[in-house]
Amino acid sequence: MTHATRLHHRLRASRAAKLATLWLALAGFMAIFAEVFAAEAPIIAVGPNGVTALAAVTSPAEYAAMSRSEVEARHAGDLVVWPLWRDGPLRRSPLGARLRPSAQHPLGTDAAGRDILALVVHGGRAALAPTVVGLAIATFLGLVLGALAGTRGGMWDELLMRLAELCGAVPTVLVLAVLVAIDPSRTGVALIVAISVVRWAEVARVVRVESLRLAGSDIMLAARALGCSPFAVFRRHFLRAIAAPLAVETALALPALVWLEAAMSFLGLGVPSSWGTIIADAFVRDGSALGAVCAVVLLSLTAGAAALVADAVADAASPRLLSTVSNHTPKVTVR
Amino acid sequence: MLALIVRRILWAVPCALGIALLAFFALSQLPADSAPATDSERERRGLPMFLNAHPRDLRARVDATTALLLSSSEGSVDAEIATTNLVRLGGAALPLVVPAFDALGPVDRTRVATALARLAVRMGLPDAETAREPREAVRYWRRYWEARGDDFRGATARNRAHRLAQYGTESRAKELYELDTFALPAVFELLPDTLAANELQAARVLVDVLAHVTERDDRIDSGASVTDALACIDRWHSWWIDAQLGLVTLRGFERITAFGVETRFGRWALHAMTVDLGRRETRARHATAVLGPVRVTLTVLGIGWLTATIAGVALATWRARRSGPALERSVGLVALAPCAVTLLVTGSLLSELGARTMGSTGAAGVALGLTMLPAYSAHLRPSVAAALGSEQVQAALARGASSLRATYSYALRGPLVTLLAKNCLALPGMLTASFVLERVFALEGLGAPLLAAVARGEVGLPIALMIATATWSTLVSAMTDVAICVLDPRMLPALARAERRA
Repeated sequence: MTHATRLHHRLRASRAAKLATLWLALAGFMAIFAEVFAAEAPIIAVGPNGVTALAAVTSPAEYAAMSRSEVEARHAGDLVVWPLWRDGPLRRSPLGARLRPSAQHPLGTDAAGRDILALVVHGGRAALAPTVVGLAIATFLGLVLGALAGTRGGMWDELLMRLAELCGAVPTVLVLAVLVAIDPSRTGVALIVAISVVRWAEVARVVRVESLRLAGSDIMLAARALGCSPFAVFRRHFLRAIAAPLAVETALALPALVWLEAAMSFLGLGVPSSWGTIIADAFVRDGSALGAVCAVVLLSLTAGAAALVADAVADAASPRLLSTVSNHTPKVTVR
Repeated sequence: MLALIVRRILWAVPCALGIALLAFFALSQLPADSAPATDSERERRGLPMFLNAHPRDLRARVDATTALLLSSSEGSVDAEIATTNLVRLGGAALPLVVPAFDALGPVDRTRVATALARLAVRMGLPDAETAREPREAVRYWRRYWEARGDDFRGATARNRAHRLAQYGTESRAKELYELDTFALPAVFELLPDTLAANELQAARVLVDVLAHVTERDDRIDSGASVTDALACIDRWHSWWIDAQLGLVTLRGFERITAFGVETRFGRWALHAMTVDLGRRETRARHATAVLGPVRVTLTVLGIGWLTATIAGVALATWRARRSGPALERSVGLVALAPCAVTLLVTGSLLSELGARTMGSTGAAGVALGLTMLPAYSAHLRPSVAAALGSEQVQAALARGASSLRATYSYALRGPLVTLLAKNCLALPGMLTASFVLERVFALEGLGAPLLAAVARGEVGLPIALMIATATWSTLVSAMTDVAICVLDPRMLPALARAERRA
């Protein structure tokens, strides 16, 4: 049985983890395909002028400037697949700003007259994309540099670990504040860089410890004795052995980073129109309370689901807790 | 073991320096929001960031100015710039310029001597107008140097400065005017860090000399208070940091240190150490401004850390001792409960309810602790679960220890050190949460001033915070090693091996 299969079996035993994974998949789908859920333009329109696909992505400003009826008139007679909610985060409502919930705007509009439901749907992308990308970059950097420190040793080890200590000691908020001050466009790149700079150190530490442990193991000695190149040893044996602790580390980081993005947005350093920004608007700038509640619920569900998955992955990857999770039988009996 | 701990602590020094360099580099990338207001600021912005291979001391500036003067035609803009620069270098340049007349041709030396005419007027020399005459200028300065060249010594400048500080008369001030900028180091040595009311007059006359020879109109007014006088002295010290190198000739070790000091980072560090932190008054002023917010932030962090640690240990132990469906439910509750309310909602609720009972700071700390609880609990649970199944716990139970005693006395001992270390190392990370809570609870903590400082491109506070967090992490790591070895002597050989390996 491979590591992945064993992990899969152990995860399946946890009902909470299954539900959490389902929610994360849904949130991820909503973040990637937000235009399917809420957009000003049709998902696809086939008519005499040809095929228009994902017009909200290809020409957002054009459709944002049009009212709902104008968009309908434009595609009258076309074969159209509309999104679930026909309003986007860029369009300003002709009915006005700060509207109460109504049929046209179920969650009302914000101070700029934008539909809050659309903002909440698209806020997931702004919240999750930088987090996931930053985490991926940090994991890659941590894996490479941690393995380098653990396998090369000596000065490499000393320097890289001091660098890791240095990066780990710097508060993320400070890194992000500096990056945002340098480039105030707030595209999310600053957040990705900040997460990568601070987070890689944690991953590198875990990888280094694992590589030190593996360096003297029989399997590594045998692989080297059989003539495997260092890269082959790294790919075939090291990566497989490191997969479980790395998965745990990454999974544990995800909820913290989801929360971090919200906190940064709350401080005015995050990505505009993310869930954190919607919450901050409600708290600081007298924005929509209903939008903030929706954002809080979605954020909480996502962070909570990530925490549950992380917990389950940690349990599944830990042989010591295997029996407690998979068999529901107590390993430890204290009387 | 001791060597390892000492080495770890010593590593804090290069780490702090590295952090300061990194932070300074990052903050230097901020776009300047205004044009440089003064010449010294313009010059500072033009300096290299970390290494200056060619620091321009007095000799280099005199050479460059003289070369510019001689290469430009009379009456041109360049000639006027060179003349102004030469006069700005002032008396400090005379020991280099006048003796070098013989090395110049007749026309060149006449131009240089004529350019010094404004300086003669500023120095209050007799017959200063004679120096404006091209025919007389060279002879005038040669005669002056033969008669007064010996006065241009450090000891003479110090004596005259002391006499001025002691007597404060106009004639003593004129003695210093005659040395012009050559007297600046001696005058700055006498400028006091603190002032009593009866020392105000001495400070005023010294500052008057500085204002006269540098032509900067920044004086201590006759009706100025001690605070105003000290503020004025601070401004002069700041100016001196920027101007010092251009008014002294570097030799030996000074030249080597100038490679680092004559940079943007060096100037900033020097300013921070000699003016911001080196002078008692400014140190007290900065401390008053920063200590209040620091105290608030540290209180929030401390309460949050305690709440998270105590509750996290209890929760993790409970979860480790339970299993099956109950565990599943508890995992769900623990993971979801604090997240479902998130930091902001927890904070908002506590800001209303908690602030009445425990104060805003306490409520913010508790909110922070509740937010950190799931992570702390998740980290500790596997270790506790493993420790509960260990032989020592089973042996304790077999000897009749209660389950509670077995858990807290034996099972928690090892994991607790790791948890405490991890939690201590997480404190810098908790700063972000603390800043959010400060805003929710409207606390006057470190968050708002820090973010404002970064936005303004100020480097002092951010670098201080980064150095503090880095030092904290290093010390905690070293202390953790000690604690682990004390609790578990089996770890000692492993640490020794790590030391040998490094």
